[in-house]
Amino acid sequence: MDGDELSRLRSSVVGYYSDRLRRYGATPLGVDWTCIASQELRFLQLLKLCDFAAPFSLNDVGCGYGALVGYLARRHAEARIDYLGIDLAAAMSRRAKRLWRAYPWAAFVTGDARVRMADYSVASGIFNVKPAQPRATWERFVALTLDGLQASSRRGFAVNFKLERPDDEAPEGLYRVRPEIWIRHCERAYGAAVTLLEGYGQPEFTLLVYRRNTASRT
Amino acid sequence: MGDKVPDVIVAGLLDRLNLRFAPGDAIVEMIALQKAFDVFSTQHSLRESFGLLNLGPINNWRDRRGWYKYLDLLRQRPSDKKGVNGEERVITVLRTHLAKGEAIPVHFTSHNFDKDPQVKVSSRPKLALVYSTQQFLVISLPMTPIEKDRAKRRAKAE
Repeated sequence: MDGDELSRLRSSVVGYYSDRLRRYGATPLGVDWTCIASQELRFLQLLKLCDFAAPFSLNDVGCGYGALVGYLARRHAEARIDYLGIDLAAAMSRRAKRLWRAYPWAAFVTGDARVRMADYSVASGIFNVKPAQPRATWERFVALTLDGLQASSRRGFAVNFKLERPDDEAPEGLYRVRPEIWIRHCERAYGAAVTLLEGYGQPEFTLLVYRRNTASRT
Repeated sequence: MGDKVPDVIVAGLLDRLNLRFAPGDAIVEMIALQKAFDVFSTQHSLRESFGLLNLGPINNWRDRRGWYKYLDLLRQRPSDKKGVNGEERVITVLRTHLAKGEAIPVHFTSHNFDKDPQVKVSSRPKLALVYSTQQFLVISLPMTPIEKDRAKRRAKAE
């Protein structure tokens, strides 16, 4: 993927989410989720990646307004986490900074997955909305983003995708896929151990992608 | 809908509820949410549970507040179960129903408060829609027209 193509895609993504934020504010609808509960059901899956028994650093890629901070504060209050929320949309990271300023362990920046090295990275829903591009172009973007997640995660990363089902054509603008494609990608390109989570009440799946030198926890 | 929410948005509001408890992915999601977070519980008000699920008007905060007031008001309404108020009835029936794991979808509807002030729940699965063979658990909420409520209040004030 050349630089122009990448920057066009990123601009589309930034435009889409900045518009959602303008319309709905720092709410689940502002990041295209139905409600807090369904957003948190995804967090529950993604965070199965992490070992909460020891302190760790966490990159939240495509963090939106930083809803994960609230979830961590409520559900893992005892954990010691160095959290960095990263979003391509500057409006999102600005909003998140304001919203979570009382949480010293959480910081936010504008950028992509490679901003800093962390123990773990998670990315929720960042591939679901596909700008008006051919599927192959979007999949090159997905692969590039996964490369970034892999490169910046010491222990592993977790990511979710909408599930493609037979006889169920994805509405225009949504990216749905079978898990095998990205499992194979992560195993071959990164030599990673991949755990597939599905059937958790959403028409989607989550991949927990562990570096080979770290043990899978599930 | 009483003096809480403009009558004209009630149908859309019930539609939103029905879409989130609809057959297929929607009810499966609701079952998973209940299992993961105990969304409907006597520890939370119906307003809190519906707020968590974003079940209410989304484009107008005045209507949203009105809807939440209406949900709170159900606490003062009777239900078809003796000794159980309207709010508790909705919470407990959803809790029990979703815990079944393979729950049938839920259909929310309304009835005339003046004729029957109770929150009503179907005792067995029902065909709720004339154009569908799908069976639902039906929850019916007592409602009055907003104008009627306003007129009552005006009459009281005079």
